Amino acid sequence: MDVKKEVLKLRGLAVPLALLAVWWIITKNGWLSAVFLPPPETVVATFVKLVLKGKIFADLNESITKVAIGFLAGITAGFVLGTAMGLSTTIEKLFGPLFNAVRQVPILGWIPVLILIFGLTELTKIIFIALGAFYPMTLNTFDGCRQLKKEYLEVARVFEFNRPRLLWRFILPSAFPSILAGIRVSMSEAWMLVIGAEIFFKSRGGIGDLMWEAKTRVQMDIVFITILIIGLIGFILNYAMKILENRLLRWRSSN
Amino acid sequence: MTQRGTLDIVNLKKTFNVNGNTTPVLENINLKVKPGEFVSIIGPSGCGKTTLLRLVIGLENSYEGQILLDGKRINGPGLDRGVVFQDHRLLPWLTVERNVGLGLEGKRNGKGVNKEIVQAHLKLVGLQGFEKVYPAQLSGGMAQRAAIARALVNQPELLLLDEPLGALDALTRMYMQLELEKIWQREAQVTMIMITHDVEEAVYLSDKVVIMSSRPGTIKKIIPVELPRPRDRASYDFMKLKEEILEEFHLHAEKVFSYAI
Ligand SMILES: Nc1ncnc2c1ncn2[C@@H]1O[C@H](COP(=O)(O)OP(=O)(O)OP(=O)(O)O)[C@@H](O)[C@H]1O
Ligand SMILES: [Mg+2]
Repeated sequence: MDVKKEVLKLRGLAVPLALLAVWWIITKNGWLSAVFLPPPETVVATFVKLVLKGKIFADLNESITKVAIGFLAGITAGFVLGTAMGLSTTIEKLFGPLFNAVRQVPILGWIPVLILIFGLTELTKIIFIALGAFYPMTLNTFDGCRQLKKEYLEVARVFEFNRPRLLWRFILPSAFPSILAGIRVSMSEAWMLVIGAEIFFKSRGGIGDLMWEAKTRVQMDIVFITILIIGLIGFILNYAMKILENRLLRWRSSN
Repeated sequence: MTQRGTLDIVNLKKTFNVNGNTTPVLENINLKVKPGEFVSIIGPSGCGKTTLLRLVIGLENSYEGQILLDGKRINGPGLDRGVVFQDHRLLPWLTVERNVGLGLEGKRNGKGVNKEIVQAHLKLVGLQGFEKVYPAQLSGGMAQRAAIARALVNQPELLLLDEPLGALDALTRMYMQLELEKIWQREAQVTMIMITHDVEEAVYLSDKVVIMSSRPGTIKKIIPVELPRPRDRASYDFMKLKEEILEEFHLHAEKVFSYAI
């Protein structure tokens, strides 16, 4: 019984393992040139080399720092604007249409503007990342603040709650699930954009830079490694946020 | 001077505006509730019971006539009135303890005092040991008891209950009726007004039963219940009173029936 459960938990690994097998078979039989598809063992060997050289850690550190700063700036701004629009219809009417119009411009569309104004600097990259985190955070916070049911509002009135206490005890807690989802989406977005930032705004160091350099030198094994690392870190971030959400939102489920 | 917990409703009329049409919902309502009294309101669905209760709570503010609590006109909700909604309305993100303590948060009592008050009320409704539990983890009856504790925590003079036991199964409901009676007896100064659909529940708990009829909602009859407590549901007097109240609805039903033919 328990064994079955444990095995079922590992279902998610089946497809990746199958792909790995296909990859290995293709390279083993030489169906594709090693330039395009380096064999798994080469990739592993290169990975070990990169780790031993240690530069990859500096690259990761570089990228993660940028993401952290951009992400924090983006979600802070998003939280402030989202809450303000959520709480006040006046502010919503003033900023809502502009926000929704600006939001239609793809993030990539801001690249020329950012380069012309801020140049190819670290600040440019951080703004680019922050922008990506800002949109989902604003939207989710705004939606969340509007989620308080009329019934609960009446409870607040019955207990004569004033505005600050209404916000603290009713509006923010009822918005919390939505806000956490916003943080999670913003985090993924920020992590994905750092790669773009390092490619478009010319970086010295960073995992995106490592990838781009490898491309220039046609080192497919390194390109592969960076892709795997980026995917893995994104996956871990998302998963960690999910666990955190379940922890913080214990009140939602009955167990 | 009027005593704490006196409710006086005089010539109350309430209309709702729906798509430009004014529909009368309550008309010519006159009701006096004495301090410490237990009053039940019973009537067909849609006759305006909840509306009447919401007016007394202060959640509806436009009306004609007078609603006086201790001689003063009611103007918006206040901590002098405790409310138990039909759907318990416990905040899902707060533990039972925090929910029950909601009404104390604005008071500068100090943490220790507030904690004691909350504890005492949890004990009153038999929920000790459930302090840290979230509402989603409570049974229907437990949630309703927590809601009653929450409403009592400010020592209101008036406790207003909108079908508090309506969603419970028959056994739990009978048990909760006993509990409610105990609470009412222990909190001797609390005046209670309860809406119910259950005639037996009304007779079992009330000092008087207000029978309403609909379209527009009016008070059809007020029946005093002068049976000694604790009441015996199987006694002749109890049954007779129950029959008398049911009769009021039978007449009503007959009329509807004759229309139907
Ligand atoms: N906010 C409102 N706007 C318009 N009409 C309303 C409003 N609230 C209630 N009504 C109407 O007033 C009438 C009385 O409603 P109310 O909820 O007081 O009935 P009730 O006696 O509590 O019924 P039930 O036993 O089913 O709970 C109904 O016809 C309802 O449609
Ligand atoms: Mg009702």
